[in-house]
Amino acid sequence: MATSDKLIDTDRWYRINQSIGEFLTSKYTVVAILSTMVLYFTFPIYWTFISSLKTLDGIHAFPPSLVPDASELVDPIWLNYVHLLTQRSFDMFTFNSLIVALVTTAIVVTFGTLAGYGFSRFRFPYDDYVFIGILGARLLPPIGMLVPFYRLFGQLNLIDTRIALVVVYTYMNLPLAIWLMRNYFISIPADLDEASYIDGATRFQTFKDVILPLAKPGVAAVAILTFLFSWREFLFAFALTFTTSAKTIPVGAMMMIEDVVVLWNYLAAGGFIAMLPALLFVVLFQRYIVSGLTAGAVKG
Amino acid sequence: MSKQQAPPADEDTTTDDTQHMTTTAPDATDDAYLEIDGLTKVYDDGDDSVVAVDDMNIDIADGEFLVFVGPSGCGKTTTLRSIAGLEEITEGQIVIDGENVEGQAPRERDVAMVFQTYALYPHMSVSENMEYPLKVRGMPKDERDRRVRESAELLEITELLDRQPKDLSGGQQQRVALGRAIVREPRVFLFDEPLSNLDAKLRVHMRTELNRLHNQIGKTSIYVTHDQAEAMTLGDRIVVMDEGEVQQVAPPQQVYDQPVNSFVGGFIGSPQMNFFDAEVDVDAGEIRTDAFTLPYPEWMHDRIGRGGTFAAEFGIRPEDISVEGLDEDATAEDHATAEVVVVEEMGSDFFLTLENDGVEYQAIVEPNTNLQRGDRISLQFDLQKCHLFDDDTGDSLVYPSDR
Repeated sequence: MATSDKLIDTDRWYRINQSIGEFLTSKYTVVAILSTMVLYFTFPIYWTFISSLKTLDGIHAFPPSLVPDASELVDPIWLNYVHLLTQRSFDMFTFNSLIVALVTTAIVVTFGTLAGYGFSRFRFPYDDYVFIGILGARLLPPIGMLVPFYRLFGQLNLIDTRIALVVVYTYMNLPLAIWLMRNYFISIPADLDEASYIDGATRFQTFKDVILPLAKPGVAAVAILTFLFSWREFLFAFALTFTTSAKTIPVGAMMMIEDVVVLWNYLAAGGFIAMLPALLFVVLFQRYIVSGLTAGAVKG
Repeated sequence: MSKQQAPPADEDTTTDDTQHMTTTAPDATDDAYLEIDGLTKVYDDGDDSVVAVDDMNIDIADGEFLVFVGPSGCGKTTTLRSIAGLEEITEGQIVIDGENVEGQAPRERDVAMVFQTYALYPHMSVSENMEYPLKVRGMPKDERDRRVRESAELLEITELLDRQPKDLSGGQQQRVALGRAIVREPRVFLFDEPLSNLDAKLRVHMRTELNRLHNQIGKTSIYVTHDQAEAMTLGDRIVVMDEGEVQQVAPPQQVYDQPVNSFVGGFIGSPQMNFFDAEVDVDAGEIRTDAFTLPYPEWMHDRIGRGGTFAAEFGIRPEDISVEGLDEDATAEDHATAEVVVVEEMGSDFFLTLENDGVEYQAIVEPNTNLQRGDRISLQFDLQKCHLFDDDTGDSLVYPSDR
């Protein structure tokens, strides 16, 4: 008797477990969970965007409306952006951000790729320590280096220049780039290098013709990460730049927080400009970013 | 008895080595195209050093197909990589066509190599893969195209030229890898276990193809494998290696028939040679093992010349043991009886595992469905084909090494 009770019990549990499993993996549950997540991540972008189109009064309206009423919006609709670009020097800030981010990315990709290849293919005395040392530099909290950098650039007369920002951003991104590229190169079989040497290529030809083309996803990941970091970095840009000749978008946007009033609509517009490249990269290159970052984690 | 060495290639592939003959190569023998003189490679990572290749001396003739064979870690691949220039050698020198290649980068040595993994460039099409070695040498485009087409025709891969490596089967990738080597018309071909990633059937097919190709092209080739069947079928000569040392260099049949030591005897041949601890009593004319006693053949005595009684290792290949019959009362001197422990029916022959007084050994015999597990049978040993090895060193007493 007891045995059969137990059997029935097990059977019931099995069925309950099964139905829970079915519920969790059903199309509706999956769609519901994913939709919530997408909403969670995209709502701030949406909110920033509509705020950037509102008047200050529209922003302060309570309760806030999810879809803004025409009375809350500026007219013409791009007025806040036009104001930022023409009256608030955002044309210069955008230009500065672009130059700093592009130059930093070019330097980091070049040296990160070459150094990563070196670390992946060649042994030299104390190579592991050198590698850890390079990575370790990145582990220091950036704010701890603010004062030394400030003093250094002061001595070199580089305060309030884009060069100073490029130097700092290169310093902060190169270690990660070397690490990512090294791992990516390790995932490319060394047989290919050797086949290329035997085919008659020099080391540099091997790198250029065979290895680098195969490492494109890694290069793309490094380029995107470095560009975005440099584009949106705030702390050092705030400390090292003072005028429109070097200020970047994040610092420009912060100027909208004034002594007596926060110009939320301009701040939102500045913030949205700062988001644009990230949105663009994610839409265009999301596959590269994922495959570049996971290289080395999974053989492939 | 032994396979002839392949004659040097004639026609357009003939190399003019007179211009090199005056340079280096101190003790160049007449027909040596590639010389390995005292090659030693030591891997030394600080406190731990491993001798991968120990004082290797081999002369390879122009157009010869030489196969290095041995268990993994025996130094055969290291030797190949040293010739290619992928490894720096510790001692000795390598001379190709009269030219000491010491310190030369792989691209200066003009050798081609086929890798076990094929190492095709994944981002290039088949024709771009084959073209690459010509491209980095700065050959004009139309000449490159012509050569790629010719090699593709030779390998019957013309229809694959526009495909990507990832869309090819293993056998096709192998052909492309061969094509990339052939297209260059290099001085020497190097093969690093090129067939071991193929399935068994394809491997046998490609082995035949390689034989055909070598006959057509006739270039000096060095081939590394752990597969003794590949070694036997492909090589003009075989180099058997173990623990960094060359054990025997000889044509395949000679290596098989006249192994210079018990390692070679055991490594070449499948199923492998049977070994027995034996005592040779010259006066009584007997070879005594725990399993049986055989007469000490005259030809062995002539070769060994020793008298008295001595301990040795007796070796005989499974196919040199035959079944005389289901027999209990065999008396002839070269007869022994044994119990059948396992019968493996292979179709063309039967593999028998036999036991006699606690000693197990194998025989390959004609198919005979009467044979059953537990049968007692009488055996005949082919005394012309047996071996005696030194008890300590393992060196053959009947086929001394000339090295």
